[in-house]
Amino acid sequence: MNPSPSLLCEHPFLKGMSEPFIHKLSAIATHLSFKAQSYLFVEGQKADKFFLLQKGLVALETYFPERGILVIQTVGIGHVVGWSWICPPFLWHFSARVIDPVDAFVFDATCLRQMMEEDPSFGYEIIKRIIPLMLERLQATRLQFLDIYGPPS
Amino acid sequence: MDHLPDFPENPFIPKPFVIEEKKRESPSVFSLYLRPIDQLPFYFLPGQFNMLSAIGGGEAAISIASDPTNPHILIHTLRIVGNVTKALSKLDKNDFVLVRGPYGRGWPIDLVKRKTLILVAGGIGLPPLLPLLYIAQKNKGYFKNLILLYGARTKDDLLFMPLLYKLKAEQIITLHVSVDRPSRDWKGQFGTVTALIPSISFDNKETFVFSCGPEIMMRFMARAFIQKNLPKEHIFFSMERNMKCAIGICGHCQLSPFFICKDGPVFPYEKIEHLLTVEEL
Ligand SMILES: Cc1cc2nc3c(=O)[nH]c(=O)nc-3n(C[C@H](O)[C@H](O)[C@H](O)COP(=O)(O)OP(=O)(O)OC[C@H]3O[C@@H](n4cnc5c(N)ncnc54)[C@H](O)[C@@H]3O)c2cc1C
Ligand code: FES
Repeated sequence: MNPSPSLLCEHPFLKGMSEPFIHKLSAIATHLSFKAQSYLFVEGQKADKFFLLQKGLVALETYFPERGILVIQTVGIGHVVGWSWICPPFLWHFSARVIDPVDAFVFDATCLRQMMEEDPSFGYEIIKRIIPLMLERLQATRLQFLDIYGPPS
Repeated sequence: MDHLPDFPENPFIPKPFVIEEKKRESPSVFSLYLRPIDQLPFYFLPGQFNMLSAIGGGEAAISIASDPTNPHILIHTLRIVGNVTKALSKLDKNDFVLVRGPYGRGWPIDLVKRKTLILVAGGIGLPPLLPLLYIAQKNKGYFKNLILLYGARTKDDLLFMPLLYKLKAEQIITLHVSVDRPSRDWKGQFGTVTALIPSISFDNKETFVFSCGPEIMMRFMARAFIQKNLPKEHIFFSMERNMKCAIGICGHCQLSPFFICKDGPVFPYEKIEHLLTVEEL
């Protein structure tokens, strides 16, 4: 079942978005729950979904030869999971495993991309909201690389 | 010492304390539980520090990590990095430690009474924030909400977790913990502590942030809160520089116009923001 626009607009990612845009999104969304240890998506597979987390915690992980599966980052409440659907080749770069049970709005990313192409003002609104999150994730990753808690040199 | 008329006694003479207990907190971190030999209560304010030394082992500034309402036991938590901390790490129960202090300006606790307080701690930055947790434990309702965002390098580097889980279970704190380096046995959040900020919500007018940890972490942390519209003047940092006198005479701890030992170590972010990106300060 599609989540109601009033429920959707409560999500931090969509807060303040105009009603017509929320209605558009509602038409391509489902409200799903995922159990702990299940996967939202798997590395290398087609990136055809876009997730807005309402509850829970997700680990982004990848396979590292000889060291097994490694967690790169965790993503929690109010966040977006998955943006590989935005750029070709539309394949997931990481796997997303559920740590704490998740409730999420899940969007059909192929439809979303098409809607963004057809209505650039809608497309721009989505991109404007995604870019700060990407930036935030990039900054967090850079800090992780710096090993800020390591012993003083 | 004729040129120091304001001090009632020689400020460089330390007081001997005896180690009542020594605890290993992580592979490179240990705590000393100290009792004053003169049995006099040792009063301090949260966020203040002492100069600590093993006899003949040099001095280092170390934050006070104990309960301010119990002046009979003084707790310090140290990471072994160099000569002084190594010498202190070799001491054991019943050995003596020399203590000068307490020094510096601590956390502005009156400002945050009945307000939401977010503590952001990175690595060995947690101990100076512990006195605030003890205040919250002893005096329920002192803070409207107390949220702790705590980051460390790995699961094994996380300090005081039993205490933190206990405070969480007693609903004294809301706890968010994150580690930087992945390991199979860690089931919580990954990433530096700054990555926890976007997902917490708070009322900007009624919320304050106290932070202690690596300077770069605090810088990024402040920006993340400002991005969430928290006023700059609601953010406070505890700063570190190497110290010698600890009373504002030698200039060792100078940060442009400030002496960290005397004007800090706790500073409003607003006052020092412009100094944080200046090289070699
Ligand atoms: C107000 C204040 C409170 C402090 N609280 C604590 C505490 O609670 N627990 C704790 O373990 N430490 C604390 N410190 C840090 C501690 O004082 C220093 O690490 C001190 O230099 C240790 O002395 P040492 O002789 O063992 O190491 P040193 O020989 O002085 O230093 C060893 C290495 O660490 C580097 N280093 C030294 N100090 C710092 C620093 N402050 N930041 C970054 N690199 C540094 C040196 O360049 C050197 O590479 C505090 C410092 C200040 C100013
Ligand atoms: S340590 Fe001497 S002035 Fe601060």
